Amino acid sequence: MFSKKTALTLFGVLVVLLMIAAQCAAPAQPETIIQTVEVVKTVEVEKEVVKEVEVEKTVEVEKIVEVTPTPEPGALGAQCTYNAYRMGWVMDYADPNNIVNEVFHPDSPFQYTFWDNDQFRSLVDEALVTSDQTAREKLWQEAERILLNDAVAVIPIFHYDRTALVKTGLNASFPPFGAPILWKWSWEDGTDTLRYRIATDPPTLDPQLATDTTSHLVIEQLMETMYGYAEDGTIEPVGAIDYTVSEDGTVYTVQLDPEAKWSDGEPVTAQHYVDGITRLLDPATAAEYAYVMYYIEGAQEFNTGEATDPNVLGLKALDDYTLEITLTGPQAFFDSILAFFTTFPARLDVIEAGGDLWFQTNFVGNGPYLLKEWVHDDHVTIEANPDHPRGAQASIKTIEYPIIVEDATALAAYENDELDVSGYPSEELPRILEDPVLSQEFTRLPRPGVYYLGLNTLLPPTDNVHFRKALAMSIDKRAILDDVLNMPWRIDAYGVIPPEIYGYQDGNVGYGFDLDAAQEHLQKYMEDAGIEDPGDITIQLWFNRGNEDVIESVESQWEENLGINVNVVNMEWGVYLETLDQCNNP
Amino acid sequence: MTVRSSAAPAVIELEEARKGVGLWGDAWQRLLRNRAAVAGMIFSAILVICALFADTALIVAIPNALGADLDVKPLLTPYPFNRGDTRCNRMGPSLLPPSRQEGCIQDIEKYGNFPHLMGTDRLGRDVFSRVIWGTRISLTVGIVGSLTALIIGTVYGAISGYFGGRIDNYMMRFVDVMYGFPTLLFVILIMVVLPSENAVQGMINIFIAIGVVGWMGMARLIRGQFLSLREKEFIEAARMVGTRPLSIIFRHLLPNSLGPAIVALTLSIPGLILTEAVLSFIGLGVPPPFPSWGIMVNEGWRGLRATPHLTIFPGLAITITMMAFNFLGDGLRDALDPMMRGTT
Amino acid sequence: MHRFIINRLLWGIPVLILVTIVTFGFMQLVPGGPFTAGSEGRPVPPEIQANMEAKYGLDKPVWQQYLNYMERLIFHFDFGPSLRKPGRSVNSILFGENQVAKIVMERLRRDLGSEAQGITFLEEPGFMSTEVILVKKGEIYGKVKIYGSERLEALRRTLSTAPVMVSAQVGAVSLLIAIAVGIPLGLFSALKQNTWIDYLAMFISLLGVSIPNFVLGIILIFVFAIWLGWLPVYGWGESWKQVIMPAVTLGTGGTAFIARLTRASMLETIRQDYIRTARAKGLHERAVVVRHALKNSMIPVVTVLGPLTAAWLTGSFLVEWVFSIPGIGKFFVTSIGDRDYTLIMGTILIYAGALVMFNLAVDITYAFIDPRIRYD
Repeated sequence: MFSKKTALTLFGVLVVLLMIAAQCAAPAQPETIIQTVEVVKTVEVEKEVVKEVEVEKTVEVEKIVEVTPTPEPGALGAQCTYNAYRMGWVMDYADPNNIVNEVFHPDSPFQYTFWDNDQFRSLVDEALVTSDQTAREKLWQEAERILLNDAVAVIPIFHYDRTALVKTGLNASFPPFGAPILWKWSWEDGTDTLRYRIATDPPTLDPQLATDTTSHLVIEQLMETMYGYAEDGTIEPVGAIDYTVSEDGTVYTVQLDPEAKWSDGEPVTAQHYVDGITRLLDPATAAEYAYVMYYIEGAQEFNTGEATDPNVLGLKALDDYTLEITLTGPQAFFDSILAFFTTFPARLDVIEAGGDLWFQTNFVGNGPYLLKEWVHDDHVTIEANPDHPRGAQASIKTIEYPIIVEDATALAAYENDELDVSGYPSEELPRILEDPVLSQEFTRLPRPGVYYLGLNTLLPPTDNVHFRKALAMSIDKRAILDDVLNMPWRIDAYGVIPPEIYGYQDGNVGYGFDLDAAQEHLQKYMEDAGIEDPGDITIQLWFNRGNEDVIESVESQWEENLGINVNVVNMEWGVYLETLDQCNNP
Repeated sequence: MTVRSSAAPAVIELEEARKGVGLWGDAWQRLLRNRAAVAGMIFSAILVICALFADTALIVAIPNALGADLDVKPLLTPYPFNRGDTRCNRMGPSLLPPSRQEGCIQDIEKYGNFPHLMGTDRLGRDVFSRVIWGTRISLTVGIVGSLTALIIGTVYGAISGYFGGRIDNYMMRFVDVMYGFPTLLFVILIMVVLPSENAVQGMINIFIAIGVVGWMGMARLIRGQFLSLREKEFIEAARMVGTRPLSIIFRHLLPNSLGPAIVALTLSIPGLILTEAVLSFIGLGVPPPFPSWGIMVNEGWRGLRATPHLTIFPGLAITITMMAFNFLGDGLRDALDPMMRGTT
Repeated sequence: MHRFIINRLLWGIPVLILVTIVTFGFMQLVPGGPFTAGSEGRPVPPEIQANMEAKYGLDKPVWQQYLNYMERLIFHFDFGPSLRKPGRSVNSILFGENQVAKIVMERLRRDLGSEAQGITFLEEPGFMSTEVILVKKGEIYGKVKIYGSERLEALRRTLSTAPVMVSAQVGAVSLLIAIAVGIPLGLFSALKQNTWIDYLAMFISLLGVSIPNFVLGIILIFVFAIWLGWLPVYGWGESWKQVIMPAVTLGTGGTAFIARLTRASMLETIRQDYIRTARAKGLHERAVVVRHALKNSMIPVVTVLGPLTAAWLTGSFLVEWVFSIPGIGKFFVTSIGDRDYTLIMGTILIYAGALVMFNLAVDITYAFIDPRIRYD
């Protein structure tokens, strides 16, 4: 009979079933991880052997040394079922180190290709100690060539940029790195207010914790560091006067501007810079960009908790206006780090007194503007500081950042003359470009970076360099930009170094769209692998939501041009990163 | 239309065994007398046909199976839903390098021109074909989502309502807890948790998410019906005779509560189509290249002034569906309501 | 009646606790944590993630995290720190910043000029504080008395800018529109059943339901802000005009829904025996409709108004998104993408709490509408 007990059991079973279903949905495979760890070691050993052989060769050797071992079942990367994945990188500072080394180095935490090359490693090491920029440029370019032409671990698609609508009559400039320097802006008619739309509430205005563009658009008006970027991308002194580098290239001594003052009248001293960088590296602060400063001696140990005493850091205030920074080794590009927001000074007394929200209740900054009002999700207002040398020069005295999330609304507000700088929805582009006024106000802003596909060099068929070449040569990047993204002004990428910085090689690196060569390489691969019909080849292409346009185009181009099958896997961003990460750092 | 044809024969049999009078047949007669409902039914039928014959598959498959090797042109959709037929840039050729300007047709996006009756979207895909294809996707989301909700809700509501008392109390408190989650938030959480290895799986995830969220209402409805029905004389009588509980549930309680459930089902279908549109807004809709109306409205609304046809046509499709299913649902309710008997 | 209310409120507690447990469990199931994705679309290196997890206690076992969270929530009404907005608490994100400190700071700046830069409080002043000690460069600078008028002003400002209140205001105006338009529309449509008035009313209301909020929102912006120039495009808090478009956008769907429900319920009611009796007694048609039919046909309407009110007063994601309104509605969606665990929990709890309250309100309203319903 059907009793109450049975009903309760039924209900229980239902709940249990739901839980099991939820369990199945969570991707976790703890058993395979143990295997992986063992195999990692064997890979390491093989690498060592190759390294010894490599040392005797000269740098000019063109021959590729294939380090990738044939993947065994359960090997690192083989359990990651992707052949290709989508990723992008927007650069932080103006040196190829920020992309060639920090992103594409085989040891980089941002690499999911499992590629390796000893020549690349030694080129990077050499570039880091080469202080002459022309010589360094050559080394970076050679490293880039190995990554793209020899190893073909990465297929760049395009270089990023940003576009905006900027009202006529506004003298605006946008340096390639850092936020626009608004005290330099002016209206032709002398208006002293500006309404600059931002798309989200700044997550934080804490100079050491903020990492996103929106927050920095505000912070970099309120704060200054030692150097800054001019409109043409060169570095100019801001809070500093000059710097010297020791002979071995490991010690930077910065002479600070003794005139620099905080907004409460205190002078900005070297100790404030020491405090700022120490605060950034303090594990208790948990700053996302702390790793950028790992070039400083003791920084990694201090940040990861291996060393608890901040005195291990290579930071010293020699006197009030002289800052000495000791690096782990010679890092020739370190001057561009001096212009990066990880070096902001900090007023520990203000921060302590104000608690977690000090930046909101009482922002004491050393920049040309003062924080006047911040109504969350509504607007941020800043005002020029008349006591600041650059603040006094500012033509625009009051800047309001209205927070408008939706692009369509922002465009409407812009057209209604409620905004001076704004974004727009891409769907409205045809109308904007046809409109006599709007088309003149349409502005392209630099945003150095690259959108690329990474190839899993361990998993067949992408473990074969010929196959990777075939993939690289069969993408018409121009067509993706012109016909799919409808951004004909964007620059198609063949190398990873973006055009805004030195080292850009235009089309002289990587592979262009060449179907005949692609077919040749495909044939070679099929001979190697003993495959007769390209229709028997299937590859997995992973990407995250929001990139459907580009990825579908790549998918159809590969299918049409090579005759292979492409499976695309689409994931939500957080899930995507977690899944890639579990493969790479199990 | 679909609902009736699938549910009717079995149920009629049951009803006739008990009453001898065709309760459902009676309702059918009353439904036919309601002009708005008939119009809704016809429109719904057209929508279902669009959904079924959106591509060539069926039309090509039948003659091929009969041995005729015919190259049948697609009946309803003149173009594929996922590929544009021109390489033309939507911003006009002026911005393109000269090599790409050849063969670029101007004004391809404008609607009302042959062969693209509703124009093309920014990837050069035929909007008409996509709207027809969207019928299949959107209706599937609506119908499968509603059915999932109906099945889960009926089982849950039936158990709760039949036993009543403490079990009912606990089960309904659980429903309260589930109600405590904002619908949208719950759908998002489910969509994020479920893996989507490919587009089809992504679509199934939407069905699951929408269904899982919708079952609570259905469960309450069925439970309410059961609670009131189980006190009725004919159930008492069935118990007296010694009919097994399962048999009471399936032979007496369920058929009698199905009417309101079917009405609720009909009315919830367009609602779910809209829910899918909202999900598309957040970027969690049906994965591309599949066109659902929600996705299409989403691709268009930001450019309402530049390219109004991208929003208007799929939007119209949603509105028509909304009207059709609502009129049908209202008609069904009136037809199935015993209070209405004898009135028109 | 009192016992019923207390009983129902007590029932709300286990419901809310279950909601927290389910949410907490669900968040653990979702792949990707709050610190997996960094800014500018890049991953966060593992050692940095470890620091962040340690900072917020996410390195502890899940059950301990849950107990810590619940302890803070129950004993201090503290929803915890936001994980993706460093330095901000979920309380301040949802309920707004404490405005006392801001007002005192304003007075200091006015009185002291640039001297005021760098001054902070030894202790953050609350609404009840009468005096604060000022600190500058870590040293005591002086004392400041807080006037009662300043506290009142602070309370007013806190209430008017608190995101929950902003959302509630938009929701309340929308509800007013929905009720004021929806019920008469449904009523007329029912009384003139199967006439062109009925068909037109139902057509309009179906149209209202079938237009997604974001499309309606942008159409209103184009018409009333750009073409006619009557209303501002976006924003909140500067003028009463800013509430019109969001409220109409949100209210339209509800209006249509309520109109349809009123019509259906009304049609059913006027067929009841007691209405026939009332008519037979020779009562005026108007008296019949208003006094007997309308009141009784309101029960299903009130039933749906409960959850609807809860949903609207806690903010609409779409409307807040399109009109840039600083409410809490958008956190329902953005917090999940960000995996901001504490903010997700906060938004869900607010919604669930509102739902419990308004469902109770519905049950109480029943007793007023229908004398047959009693709760003792």
